[in-house]
Amino acid sequence: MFTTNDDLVIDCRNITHYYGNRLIFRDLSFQVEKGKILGLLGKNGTGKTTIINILNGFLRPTRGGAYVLGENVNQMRPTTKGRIGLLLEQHIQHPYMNVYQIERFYSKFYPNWNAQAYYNLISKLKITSRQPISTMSCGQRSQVALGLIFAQDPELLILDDFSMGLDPGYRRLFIENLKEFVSDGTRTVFLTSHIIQDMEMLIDDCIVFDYGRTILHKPTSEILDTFHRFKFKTQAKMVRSTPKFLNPEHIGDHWEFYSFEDPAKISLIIQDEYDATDIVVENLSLEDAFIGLTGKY
Amino acid sequence: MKILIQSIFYREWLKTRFVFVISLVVVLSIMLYIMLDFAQSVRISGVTNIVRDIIINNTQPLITFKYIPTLLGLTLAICQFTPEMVDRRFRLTLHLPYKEHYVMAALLAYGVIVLTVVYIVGMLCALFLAKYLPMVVLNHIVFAIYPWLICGYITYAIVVALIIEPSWWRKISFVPLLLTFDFVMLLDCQPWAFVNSNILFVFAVIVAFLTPFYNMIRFKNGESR
Repeated sequence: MFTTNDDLVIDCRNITHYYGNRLIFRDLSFQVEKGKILGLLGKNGTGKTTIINILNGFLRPTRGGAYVLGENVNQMRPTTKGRIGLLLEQHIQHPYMNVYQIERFYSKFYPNWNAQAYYNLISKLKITSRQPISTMSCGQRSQVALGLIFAQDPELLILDDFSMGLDPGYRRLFIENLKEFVSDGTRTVFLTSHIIQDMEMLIDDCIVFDYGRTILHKPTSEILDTFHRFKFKTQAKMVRSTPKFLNPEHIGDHWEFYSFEDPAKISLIIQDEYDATDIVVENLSLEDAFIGLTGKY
Repeated sequence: MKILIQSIFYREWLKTRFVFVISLVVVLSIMLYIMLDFAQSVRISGVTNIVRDIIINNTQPLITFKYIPTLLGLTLAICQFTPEMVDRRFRLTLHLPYKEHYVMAALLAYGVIVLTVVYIVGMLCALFLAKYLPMVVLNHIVFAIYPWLICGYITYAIVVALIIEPSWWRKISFVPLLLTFDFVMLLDCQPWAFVNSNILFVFAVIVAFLTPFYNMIRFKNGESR
């Protein structure tokens, strides 16, 4: 049992989970404050969908617990569930319904239902209201799913791999619509995606998972401002991986590694330790930063 | 609750309306066949011989209908819940802003009502027998067939539980249970053979309909064993 804070929309404490004997994460803890957009980045199989399922009460962790909107996720009241907009991986919806029927089905459940928000989004697609969801493309289905969330007007949006299967046009449409929807700062978003360029356009804070652990949890702007790639030449046979020199790699005629440390300080260190020459310090995109933190396969 | 029931019934109707219509067509077709066959038998053998066959030889005029309730229960459960399990879509249903038990109850209530409507249509057609047979013989027939109808409900509930169950080993374990129930309740026996088993039937129906709730909790908790 642990105390809750009204400003915390998501509060995960010491979550450990195994699938059989395989550890997914150990003692995972993070919080998401109200109004933030938090992105969860990780390679395949690191537990992103697992944490989504835990937060929605679809999976009991082996140890630890999670609170969403101040309530234990495994004992959530129906009214609290109504405050959460959920997008499942692959934009899963009910394929036997059409655009009109699915809106009619969901509209009765939510008192603040805004049908106009749904149909505004749908009108941008080239589909009729009687078109079954099963005949839609991935992109069209994603807009239907997003439109239903907009119409629900939830306080918290949980989006699992929102960009899966979408072409660049639909991804951009999804992101722009989502950004506009949350622009008033009253809604909180927790999302995962493999397309990190899309995440970079959206998220305020970033959690990076690796197998079994969290690597970091920082504001996106801080990562982009302080995390750099260093390239240099050296006669040394080996560059050791340390907390200051992350994922060093020999590529062609030079070495490269990543670091949060001050570039001037790091340059002095590698000159001193490795007789480094031709030192280049590069700013990174979020995708480059992710690879720098987690390494290539 | 009214909103839940209306919306769930609306959705389930969209999902299963063709199954419902086909079920009605099948039942009406079978009952039409039985009516024609029975009428022909009466013309050939006479009502007295027919009554003697029913009472003494346990001939069942509605025997063609015997497996229909079970097949309907099986078909409806598959058509209603298999789409929910594709991509674990059932999570969307459980995320609705109602207690999960109420949602499950609404889903099962829909299935029971659909089965009941189809059974009633069948039984109304069977009333043609009243044109030929006295009430005592009709009672004889009713007590022979009511286990078939109960078997249909139990089959529906157990197949629903099987479909929702997240573990394959446990899914498989439901099969012998289902076959046992069906075998016992569809035995060829004296019409009044089950009359002292009504308590057991009630117990079996209750247990059968509680099992989907238990498996729903297992699904929700992400159990895999």
